[in-house]
Amino acid sequence: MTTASPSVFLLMVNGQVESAQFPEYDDLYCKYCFVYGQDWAPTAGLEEGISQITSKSQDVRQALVWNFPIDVTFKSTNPYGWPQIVLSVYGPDVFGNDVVRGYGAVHVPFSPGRHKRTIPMFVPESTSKLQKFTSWFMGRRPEYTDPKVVAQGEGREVTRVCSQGFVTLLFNIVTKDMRKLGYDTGPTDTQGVSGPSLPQGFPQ
Amino acid sequence: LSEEMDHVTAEEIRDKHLQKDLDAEENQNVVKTLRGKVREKQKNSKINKDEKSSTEQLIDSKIYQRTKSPQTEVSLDESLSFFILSGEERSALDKSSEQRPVNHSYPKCFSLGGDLQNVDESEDGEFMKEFILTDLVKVKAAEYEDDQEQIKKQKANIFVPSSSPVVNQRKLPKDMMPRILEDEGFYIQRKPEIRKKTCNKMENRLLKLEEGKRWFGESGEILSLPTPIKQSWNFRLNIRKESLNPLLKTIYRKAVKCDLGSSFMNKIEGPREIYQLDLNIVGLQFSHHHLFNQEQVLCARLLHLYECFQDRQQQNVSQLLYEKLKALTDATKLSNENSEINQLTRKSLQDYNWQISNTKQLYDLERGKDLSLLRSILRTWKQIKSLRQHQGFTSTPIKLQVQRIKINKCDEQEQISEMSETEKKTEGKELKNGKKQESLSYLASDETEIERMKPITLRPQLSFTAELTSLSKCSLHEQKRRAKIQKLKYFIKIFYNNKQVSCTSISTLQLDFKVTFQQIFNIQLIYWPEVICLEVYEKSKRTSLLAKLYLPLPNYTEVKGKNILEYVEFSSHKLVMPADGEVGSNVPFLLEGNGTEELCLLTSGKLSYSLSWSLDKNGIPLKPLKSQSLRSAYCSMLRNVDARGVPGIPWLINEQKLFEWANEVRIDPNNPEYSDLMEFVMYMSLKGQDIPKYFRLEQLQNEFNFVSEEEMEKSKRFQLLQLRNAGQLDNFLLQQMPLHDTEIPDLVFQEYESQKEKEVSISDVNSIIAQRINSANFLKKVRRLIMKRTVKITKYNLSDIVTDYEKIISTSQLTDAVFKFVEPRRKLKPQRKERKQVTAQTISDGDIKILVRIVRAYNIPMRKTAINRALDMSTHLKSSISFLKHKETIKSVASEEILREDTVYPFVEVSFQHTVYQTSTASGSHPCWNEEIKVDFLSPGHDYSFSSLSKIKDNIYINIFDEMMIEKHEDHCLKSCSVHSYIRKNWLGSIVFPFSALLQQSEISGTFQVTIPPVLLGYTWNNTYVFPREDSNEQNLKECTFLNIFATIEPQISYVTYNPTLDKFLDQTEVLQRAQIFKKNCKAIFPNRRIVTTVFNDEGIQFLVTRYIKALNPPQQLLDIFLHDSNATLDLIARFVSLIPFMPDTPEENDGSDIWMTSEHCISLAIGNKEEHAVLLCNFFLYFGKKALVLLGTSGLEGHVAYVLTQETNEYLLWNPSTGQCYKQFDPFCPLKSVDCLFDDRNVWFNIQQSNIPMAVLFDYSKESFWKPLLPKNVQGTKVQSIQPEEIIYSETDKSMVEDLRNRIERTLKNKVMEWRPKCPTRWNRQCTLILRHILPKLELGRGSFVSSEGDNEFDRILQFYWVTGFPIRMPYTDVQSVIDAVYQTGIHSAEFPQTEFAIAVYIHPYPNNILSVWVYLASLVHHQ
Repeated sequence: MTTASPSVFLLMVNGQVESAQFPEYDDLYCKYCFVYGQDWAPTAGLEEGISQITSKSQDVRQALVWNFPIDVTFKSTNPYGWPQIVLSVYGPDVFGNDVVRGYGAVHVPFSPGRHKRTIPMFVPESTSKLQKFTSWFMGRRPEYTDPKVVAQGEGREVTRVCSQGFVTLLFNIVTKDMRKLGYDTGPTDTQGVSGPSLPQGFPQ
Repeated sequence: LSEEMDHVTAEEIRDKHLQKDLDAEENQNVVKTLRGKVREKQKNSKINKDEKSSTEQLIDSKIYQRTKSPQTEVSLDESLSFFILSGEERSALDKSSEQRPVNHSYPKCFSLGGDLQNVDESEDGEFMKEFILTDLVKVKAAEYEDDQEQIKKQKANIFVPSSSPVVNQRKLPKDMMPRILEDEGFYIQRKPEIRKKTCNKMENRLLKLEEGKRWFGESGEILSLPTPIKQSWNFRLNIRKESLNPLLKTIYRKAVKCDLGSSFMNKIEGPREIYQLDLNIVGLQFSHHHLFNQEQVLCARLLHLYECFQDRQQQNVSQLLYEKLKALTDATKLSNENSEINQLTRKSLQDYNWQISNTKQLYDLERGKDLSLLRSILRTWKQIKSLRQHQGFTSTPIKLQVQRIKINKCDEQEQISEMSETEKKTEGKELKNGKKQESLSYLASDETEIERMKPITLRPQLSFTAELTSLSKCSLHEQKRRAKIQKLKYFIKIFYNNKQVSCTSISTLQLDFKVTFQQIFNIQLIYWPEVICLEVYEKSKRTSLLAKLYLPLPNYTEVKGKNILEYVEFSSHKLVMPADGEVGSNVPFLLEGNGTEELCLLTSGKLSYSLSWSLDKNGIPLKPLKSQSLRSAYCSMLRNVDARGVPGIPWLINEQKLFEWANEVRIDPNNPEYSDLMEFVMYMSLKGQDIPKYFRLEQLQNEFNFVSEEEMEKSKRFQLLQLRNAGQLDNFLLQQMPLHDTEIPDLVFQEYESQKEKEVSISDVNSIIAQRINSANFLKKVRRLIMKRTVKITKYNLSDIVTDYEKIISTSQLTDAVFKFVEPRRKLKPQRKERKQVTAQTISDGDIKILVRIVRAYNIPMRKTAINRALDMSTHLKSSISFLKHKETIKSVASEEILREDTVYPFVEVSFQHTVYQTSTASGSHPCWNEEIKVDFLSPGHDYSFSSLSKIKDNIYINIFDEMMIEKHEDHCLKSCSVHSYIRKNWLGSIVFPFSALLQQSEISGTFQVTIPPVLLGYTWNNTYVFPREDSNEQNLKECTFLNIFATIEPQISYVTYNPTLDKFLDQTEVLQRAQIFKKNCKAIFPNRRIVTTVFNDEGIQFLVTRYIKALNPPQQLLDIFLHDSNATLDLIARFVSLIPFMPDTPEENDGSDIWMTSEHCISLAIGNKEEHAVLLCNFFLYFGKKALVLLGTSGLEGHVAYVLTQETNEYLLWNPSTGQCYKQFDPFCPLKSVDCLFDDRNVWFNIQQSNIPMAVLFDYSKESFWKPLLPKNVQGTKVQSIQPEEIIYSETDKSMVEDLRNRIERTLKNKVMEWRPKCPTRWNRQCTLILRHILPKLELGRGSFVSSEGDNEFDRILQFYWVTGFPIRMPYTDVQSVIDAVYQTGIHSAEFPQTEFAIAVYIHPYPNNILSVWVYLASLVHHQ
């Protein structure tokens, strides 16, 4: 902390893909990856991961629990292009083919601390009824060519999607040097910072 | 439900009744039956607490409870729950009776849970006891109830409303006809729509009730509220286009820049433009000061009163009134004296009397005021005198004298003359005595005396003649005070437009509380004056601001001539505590004279100044002209309005109010006092609509600007971000943006800047090079500009984003898919399967490969026997020379030898992106390789999106070489020594196609003609011709080499056809719209065929393509060459067109919205794309009276192309404008693969024939079943104005520049060849170079491919000593680099043989307008040993 002016700020994300609610499906696994802007770079940890296959719990909750850890650190010079986590869930269909069960994305929380996020998941729809039937029959459901599409706004207008379920994520966020570089990301950030660097207009 | 809720709420009272009703009748019945049923059931189920029974029991008990304790009050909820409950009961009953009456529409969402609580447990227990015990103890016969009886019973209780309509009489009171208000003309709101059946049922149900008729209205229908659903929208989209009132149409107006900035007056040369204001600050005079003592306070008051008095005296209202009164009384007297009183005079008398009384009142009022003023003057004077006496010194020089004026009642003239003399009672009192009582007493007595209409005859006079008590005689306090006064100093700072411009000298306060400056300031103006502010500073021990004064701006008529002083008053609320006998400021104090009066005075005073425009030496006022000032004044006003706080011009704040006020008061427009205002009003009313109401926008903007603009501009990071956003940072793209400016290397900007500079100015000595670069840049710029104008949205297709199972178009495909499970794994007859297409996004590095399969070649030229001999028998030098000399005679012998030997060893090199792949070496003129070459492919920037792929301009070169072994015997080691063999390759020809063509077509396959240089030294044609196709046995193909290749991209990249939907342009006419629709329709039929109907010109205006076609004159120079041979002329012109450099265009922008320049521009810029070339060629052909059309299609090698189609007498000819070659329609080697669209100056035709292969296409475009025309036949006749010029004017190419260029190219090529051979020395054979130079010019005009040049004697001489291989290459001149590349491709530099000598000759044949044909003759010579 003695360095006068840091040249990057760091964002440490750890947490886990806790569980999912997919009322109709079982034996699912999930895949996560991060989408971030040009000025971002991962410095440590895994950017991508595939979880184990989980089955539904036998109680009423019928939760699909993965508890799949996420641990990655980013560095950046620009908050533009803040990382987003993209989740895609897969599982077998009636014929045993591995098909996609949901896509979803959420921004990594901005403020340090513990955050719980529940993401609604969706899958792209087939273009026609016939197509739908064939894709069901053949076990080749429509998929995104690149799951990262769900973190972008471009080109989404051509797709139709259907919602599937929810995935719950837990994030623990630690940032470094954000405040020093002039980015104020909320009240929880103030705790670790000494007095003089506090901005003037901040309501305390 | 809501509807019913409505009923419930509206008819709450009715609910009560209903409830009572039901309570009384139905409920009891229900309870009875239920109880019976429960009993029955419980017996059956033997105490088993079945869920069903328990619920029923619960309901039962609930009802039990309810009947026991009937509710007295009915709330809304309870009534509703009652409804629900009863409904449920009913349904329960229905179930048991197996009879299904139509259910109530009440929802079943009742809450049993709530009811559960109501269960009385004790009761329940009793129930149990009663039934269970009896059931257990007694043995009874099974109870039986007859079904019929049961039904009967139920019928008594159950009511099933019928759905038949109800007669009106039943609904209405007796003998009443239904009254339908709507028929009577009343407005009835729409009622909610209910199905008739439901309604009838409800009516029936209601009629069953006792007071059911209350539910019905006069019309015999159920009362209901109007439907709450709104039927129509408030907003209606106007779909109709034409019927719109033209007045309502929005008209495009160009945005006009607000000219606020013009208040800044440019300093233009000339004395008139320098304006000067003169500010003369005379001095300050305090009307109150904190150093005033009490005497001075009184004195100031006296002065003020006296001023008032003088003002009044000047106005002299009382005198006027007095005279009026007198005149009136005189008039009345006069009329009274007249004895005859007629009607008229009486009336006037009355009028007089009335006026007299009126005037009297007024006069009395005025006189009263005068008197009171006079009295207070006298009182104050008295106070002063007493004060002076009391304190024992005098500190003010003031002195009051009162004159009395004797007035003669009779004549006024006398009065005036007497005034001076009648100082009857001059109260010239000495100050010391101060006997004023007399006058006062006199005044008192006089007052009563002149009560009757006499003007005041007292006149006070102030003079400053009283002596001040000298300092020594004063009290200590006074002495201190006076000392203080002398210490006080004042100065004034002058602010012009809120900037300090000057400051007065510091002057002391005088004893009479005046400060004199007497300074004149000349202010030279650059900016129009907005605020002139003076700040008065007081300086005692420390300087403090006393007051701020805003001076009104001078009128532009105020020039220096007039020197009238103006006064501005000021005051300061500064608190100063009194110390030494003074009164202080803003502090309450008591005047000593009369103890009750408490005063609190603020320091105040007046500033005297004059402000005017000054005059220059010649007496011309240095002021702005009227118009200018008016405008700038307007601007300054705006500024002032903006800055609300400026008190100087308060009336400007609300112009509206000002206008209103001006209207109300009706100010005289000619009054010079108001001239300013009038001008303002006039100006505002003229400009009224332009004045914006709010000026806050900018101010708010200021708040949002967290950094000033300059700082923002300075920030390197910001610049970098901007550049990146604009997509101009290619090399910095993948890096992180540094946070600090210091981390950003300047290099980045330099690179960008240099790139920019290159665009801006090219200073090359050679005008041709400069022209080429300039025109390329110009086109790039134009293209960018126009592309910017046409809104382009990158559209994604579903297939780009979602990978779905293979597209299913028909059900048969589905059945195929189903049958796939059953069908045999391995079919006997394999079928061709389409390759799966891959979308470009999913590809990463290394995924893409270009497959090139070299199958075989035909008719490769073979080495000349002579050379074979020469090489083989190098030792027999002499014989070989003689052999050469007589080669004509020996030729037959040589050919025989050729048949025996393989005289050519060709191999093929494929090069792409600077990597070279090579096949094995075959032998013979008709080799067969059948080899597949996998070419690695890398996209720049690792971006494999389709758009970036389509931007790749790299070409794929397929070169045919002859591998030649040269054996060299080392001289010095005799015959026993080993023989060194060197391999050298001789270039024979090449096929070039761009990568974009491969991308567009996904595969290139077929037999293509190899471009072979017109002369191949050392090679000759084989006389065993093999034709790739049996059907084409044409003579002219004998001297052509063919290569059979197949090329594709692996995996296949799906070619996305972008169909950018162009926005509707304002200037789009009907024809253009029609063209768009036509294009869309055509694309719908054949999506893969090309069609272009409208293009943009270089100004961004859309035109129909037909307007580009017009007969234009080719350069006269070309026409003169072959005067008699028209075919040769045509060929020459085609060659001329092909020499115009090509602009590489990407397929992306090829179809959607292309930009075509006119042919004139194309020639003058010496650059053009494929279509422009075709248009130009077509225009030239039209000049010769040929029937020519432009053809759009696809070429096997080039991708999208434009050809020119000419109609000869019995055939169609296809001209390729990029090579100048001409093909017959049935030429099997015509590279054109598809014919999609034709157009000429009249119409556009789209090919709707099944096949679009040129050989199969019928070119008779008049048949609409084959060619779909854009314009119908009747419109075709009208020829539209072409956008081409009448005639192209050609300019001669500068010969010296051509020569300069030639030298340059030659020099660079020589340098390059040496550079490419870093290991071996490069020798240049001068003699050969010279010869080549001589030969070259002949080649340009030589027709036919193989020009025999060996007949040249000079060449013969070289051939005696050397074995020569070489060839000339010909190309249009685009830039030097392209020439170098072409030479590099031939690989002539790669000769390993140590004694190789080289020769390079360059020749440039100039055509008009800097269009050049570059010939490069390359030769390598090996000395015969």
